[in-house]
Formats: sequence, C-alpha cells, structure tokens
Amino acid sequence: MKYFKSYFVIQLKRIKKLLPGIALMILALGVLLGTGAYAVIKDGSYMADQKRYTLGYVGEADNSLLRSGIFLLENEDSSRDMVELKQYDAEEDAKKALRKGDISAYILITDEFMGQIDSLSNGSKLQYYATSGQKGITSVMMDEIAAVAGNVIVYTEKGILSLDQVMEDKEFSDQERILQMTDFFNEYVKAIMARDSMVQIQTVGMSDGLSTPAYYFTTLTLFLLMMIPFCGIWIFLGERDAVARFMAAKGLGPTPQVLAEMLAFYLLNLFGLILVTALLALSESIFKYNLGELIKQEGLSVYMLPLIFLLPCLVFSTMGFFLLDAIQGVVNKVLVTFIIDIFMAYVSGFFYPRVFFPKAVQFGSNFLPSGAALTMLANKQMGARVFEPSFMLWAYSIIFILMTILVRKARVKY
Amino acid sequence: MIKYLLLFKRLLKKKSYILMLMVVPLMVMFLNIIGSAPSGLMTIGVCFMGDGEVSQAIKADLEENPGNFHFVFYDDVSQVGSDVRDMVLDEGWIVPDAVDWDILNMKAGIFIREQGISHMLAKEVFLSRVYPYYSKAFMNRYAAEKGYTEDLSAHFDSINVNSDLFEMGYFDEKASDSELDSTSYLLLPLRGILSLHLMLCAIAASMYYIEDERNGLFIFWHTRFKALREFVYYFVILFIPCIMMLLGLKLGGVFTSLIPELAKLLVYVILLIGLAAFFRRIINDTKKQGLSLPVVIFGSAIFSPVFIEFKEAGNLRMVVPSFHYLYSIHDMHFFYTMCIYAAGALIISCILAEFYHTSS
Repeated sequence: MKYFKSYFVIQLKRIKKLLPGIALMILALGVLLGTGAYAVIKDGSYMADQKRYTLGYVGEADNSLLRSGIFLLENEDSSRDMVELKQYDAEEDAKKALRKGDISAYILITDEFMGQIDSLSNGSKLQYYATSGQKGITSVMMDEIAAVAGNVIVYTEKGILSLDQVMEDKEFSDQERILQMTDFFNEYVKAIMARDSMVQIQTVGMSDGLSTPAYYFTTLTLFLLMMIPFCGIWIFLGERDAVARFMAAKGLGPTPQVLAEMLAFYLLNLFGLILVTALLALSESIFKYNLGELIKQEGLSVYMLPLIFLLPCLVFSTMGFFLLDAIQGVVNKVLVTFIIDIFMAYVSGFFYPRVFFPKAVQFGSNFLPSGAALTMLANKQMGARVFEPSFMLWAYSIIFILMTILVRKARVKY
Repeated sequence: MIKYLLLFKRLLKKKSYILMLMVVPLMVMFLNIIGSAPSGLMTIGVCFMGDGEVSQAIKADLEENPGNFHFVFYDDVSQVGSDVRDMVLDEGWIVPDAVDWDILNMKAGIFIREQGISHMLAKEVFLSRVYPYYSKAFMNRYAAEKGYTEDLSAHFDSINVNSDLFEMGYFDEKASDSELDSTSYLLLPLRGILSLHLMLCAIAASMYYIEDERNGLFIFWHTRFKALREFVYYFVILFIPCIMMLLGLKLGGVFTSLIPELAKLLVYVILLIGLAAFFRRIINDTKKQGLSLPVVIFGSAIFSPVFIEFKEAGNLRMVVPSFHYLYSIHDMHFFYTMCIYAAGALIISCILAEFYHTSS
C-alpha cells in the first residue's frame, strides 16, 4: 500500500507537467470552436433556424419560360426557404463562388438547353456542380434536390406535350397552339406553387432523445473526451518495460502499477473536462447566453457537465490508456488509437446522426463504448433508463483495466 | 541509403506495426459492410390508406427507387406518428386513399419532430413522387375544361422524355466516370479520415525524430544536407501508411485514377513533411507535440471537408493541409494551391534545418 501511494504520487507529478499544456490545448480548441460558432452565427441563416442552399446559375435566362420559373422560385415558391438563387454572368465567377463556399452548387444554362426548352423536348442534360472537392453529404442533398426539380419539369413537359400533340393532330394553327400551351404552362405553374396545400405537416415533438443542437453538443464533447488521452501520449514513451520490471522487482506488481497510472491518467482527463466546463461558464458570462437555452435542452446548467460526463470520461481514459500502453512505437500508438477512435465515433453517430446508418449498425453501436456513452447521456437528459448503457460503460472500463494489467504482467515476466 | 533502410527495418520490427497496417483495411472492410446494408439520409415511414392503382404505383416507386432515403412501410397510421416521436423514424408520410380517386384535391399528412432543412427536402421528395400522377390528372382536367374530349392519358404515357434532366459534374471532367457515383454516402468521409490519419502520422514521425535525436541517433550520422536527411526520415515513416491509404481508398470505392491519386498524395505528403518538420523546430518536445494532437484533429476535421463542408469559415480553411488535398481530388485549382503550400513549407523547413545545422 505504501509503495502504491508513493508510485501514485510519482504519477501525479508526471501528470502535473502536462496540466499547463492541457489548459492551453483546451483554450486553443475553445478559440477554434468559438471561431467556428461565430462564423456560423454571422452567416445568419442559422439564427433563422434554417440553413438555405444557395444555387447559382450561369448564363442568361433568355427564354421567357425559364425567366418566369426563376422569378417564381426567387419570390413566390415555398422552396425559396430551402434554395436561394444567384445569377452569374461567367462560369469562372460561379466557380470562384463555389470554391469560396458562397454557393452550394451552380448550374450551366447552355444555348443547347435553351433550344431544347423552346422545342419542349429534352435530349441534353443540364450540368450542375455541387462541389469543387470530394463528394460529401451536401452534394448528396443536392442530388436529391436535382431529382425533385427534374421530376417536376419532366412530368409538366409530358402534360404540355400531350396536349400539344392532340392540337397538332386536330390541325390547330401554330399561334393557337402557342397561346394554349402558354396558358396551360401558367396553370401548371400555379398548381406547382400551390403544392404545399397537398400536405399537412404535424410536428409531434420528441418523447425521448436530444434536440439537434444538444445532440451535436453531446457528441462533440464526447469526441473531445476521446481525444484528450492523446495529450498524455508522452507518458507512454520511453523505457516503460524496464521501469515496470524495476518496480515489480521493488515489490510493486503489475496490478498496483496499472491502477496507480490509470487513476492518475483519469484525473488528467477529468482535469480537461473541468477546464472545458470552466471555459464554457466563462463564455456564458462574457457573451451573455445560457447553454441550456442555446442547445435547446431545458434545465441543463453548464456546471452539471463534469457530473454528466464523469462515466464517459472514465471509459475513454481507460480505453485510451490501454491502447497507448499496449501498442508499441509512437507511430503505431497514434495511428491505431486514432483509427479505432474515429471509427467508433463515426458509427456511433458523433458526426452524422445515428439514423443515417443501417438499423443493425444503430443497434450494434450501443455495444461500443462510444455508442453506449451517447445512449446513456441521451437517456439521462430525457429521464429514460440509463442502467444498461451505464452498466456497459462500467464493464468496458473494468475490461480495459484488466487487459492493461494482463499486458503489463506479460511485459514484466518477459 | 543503408541507414534509411535500417530506419525502415526498425519500424517493421515492432509487432504493433502489423496492427497499424491492418487497421486501415479492417476499417474499410467494416465500412463497406455498413455501406452495403439498407440505410438512408432519413428513415421515412409511409402508410398508404388506399390500395388503388396510384397508391401501389407510388409504393413500388419508393421501393425500387428510394434514392438516398430509407423507406419503411406501415399499415397503422398511429404507429407512424409514435415512431417519429420515439425517433425510430425521422419522418412519417400518410398517403390518403384520395390519391387513387381525387388526387388533385388530396391532402397527405407528414409527421416531423422538429423543423429543419432535411424535412423541407423530404416534403419536396414526397410531392415529386406523387407529381407524375398529379400531373396526368391535372392535364386531363385542364383538357376537359377546355373542351377536349380526347383521352390524353395515352399520349402522356407514350411520351418518352429523359427523366435524368440534371447531371452532376466535377471540375475535373475525367472524374465524372469514377466509381464515386455508385459509392454509398456512408463511405464518403473515408478519404477525409485517411487524410487525417496521414497527418497524425507526420506528427508521430516528428515525435519519433525528437526521441531519436535525444537518444543520439544522429551523432554518427553525418550528412551534408540535413534537410534531405530529415525529409527522407519522415518519408520512410509515412511511406507504408501512404500505401495503406491508397489501398483503403481503392477498397472503399472512392478511388479516382492512379496517376492523379499518386500525384496528389505525393504533394500532400510533401506538405505534411514540410509542416511537421517546421513545427518540430518550434515545438521540439514530445510532450507538447502530443498535446497538439487533439487540436490538429479537431481543427482539421472542422475546417476541411471530412464530415461536413464548413464554408462559413472562409479563408481560414486554407491553413489546413487536408483542405487542399480533399478539394484537389476534383479541382486542379486546389492541387496548384497545395503545390505552392507544399513548396513553401518545404523551403522554410529546409532553411531552418540548414540554419540549425550550421549554428550547431
């Protein structure tokens, strides 16, 4: 016991060297995330609780049908809440805007396409550019918007072409056909504009689970807790095996060694969590906001965060300790731990909502430390059962401690 | 040359290196399994009140062409509402039986939990799926009002208009033929994750270098060009992770074509080496290098399009190496900016390396 206390104190002294660095790291992260939050709030669209996709179009809408369509989309149609239009004279300007992020996508209105509209046929395709980089979720959403727009245009055309064919068969004059088609098109446009009357939306609210801002606040904090163990990687470098054998020879076996080190490591992670809380509390008083109101989670106080995240902090610090201790070589430690962490975080729904994933993955992620942590926190917020996820987290913590002890015993023996 | 090979051999000696090599292909394998299972940006429950021709046609269309959504069919309306509330579903659609006999005056019900852009999009998707039948009925009503007695439905059905009106293009035209278009959206972050992985490898290489320097590895390793020794040292450590990254991209179905991939990855690696060597001069301590890891991970994940495109950050994103790499995949403009960034980082780290060499 005496050796355990002394060894524990030594570990605390080692950890103490990291504290100023962790404080700086949390501050740097705070500045980073604060800058991001400022940029988002400055953008304005989040204040209105909806982000719009901005669609650029290149080329003159010489065609009256297209001009009418654009006018209606900009001013009348309900989709203006979802899509905003911006006109560009040259494709280079639209490209620059897409690269800068001023627009979500742009379409090229070519002379060929205008000709196709005039003759009410479409053999060519309208190209749109949704990203200048790798394809992502935004471009997937743009695909869906494109499919919706395409469907409406195509089946409207079919209706107009059908009537035109009948009029042609009845030998109506060109002028009569044009007048009739124009009137028919206008009626179609009115019907499309009024399409919202075909649906009645009912907001049912949530019986359990977190609001979207609270969800992402929780997952961001959990991801930070997963990353904090990297700060202590220095502890896992050097001649650890030799030190372990030396301590064992002096009477401090692998089990008390591991327990002392892990406890100190957990306190280091807890320090990080408390710093985050302090930073959030400070920002609350400076910027005059309430965290619970901001993330739409009533009753949440920033001072509750260390208690709320105590158990997830334990499981991530034991997991981080095990991985960084068991894996040899600094390159291997960093890369393997990172891949495991980010994979678990990804499939547990830290970056995309859990519902994006197949049902089996949503269910399976509850059995991962990251998924269990998220489920426990979500249930805790809404007053639902926390026993199963909490049990899972405790079980994982104990498993990681036992596995670390086993690895240490093997090293000491060898 | 032999010294560099020995450096390489030293890495292979550790059993954990095999584990490091395995994690990327294993992760990609799991992601492929996940990506192949039914999933969607939103899970939408659909309940059809009628079972007429139009209801069945819409249902078949949703089953065969779900797009990026996952549809689940219900018989009980109340179950749809409660499953939306209980977060089993993202949204619920109640299609009335009027869709079969009076589509022009039908009123469908949509259950949502909270307002947002995805629900607006899902509403539009619903309306666009009903629209073909609505359009036909609308056409027939208009024709009847104007005194046409002919049945236009046969004309409507026989007209073959290209339904794929819009086509997504890339700035890099060749990429339009890539396998990317058929890749599940769940695998889209793979390249971003692997680019972060490589970035961390560069930082880990810095820590390795600092350790070796402290242990006196370079005392008897004389070289005229310290910058070159540094560069090759980093390159030896990054070499195999680069191979694993290319393999991961290929297995994940996000690979474009060989020469462009190699070129962009090479420039990215040079950029990472330049920056890692530069920061090693500033932070010549393994403790502090380790402390920077979470900031690097967070900063890169937020400011480069790994999971989201954070366009509001504007030019701040240009500082992040992975931003240039990820955007360069389909846009040569960012390949050139990455080249300039890499050249700058390399020149500065070379100057610093020679400066420290001559002053010591």
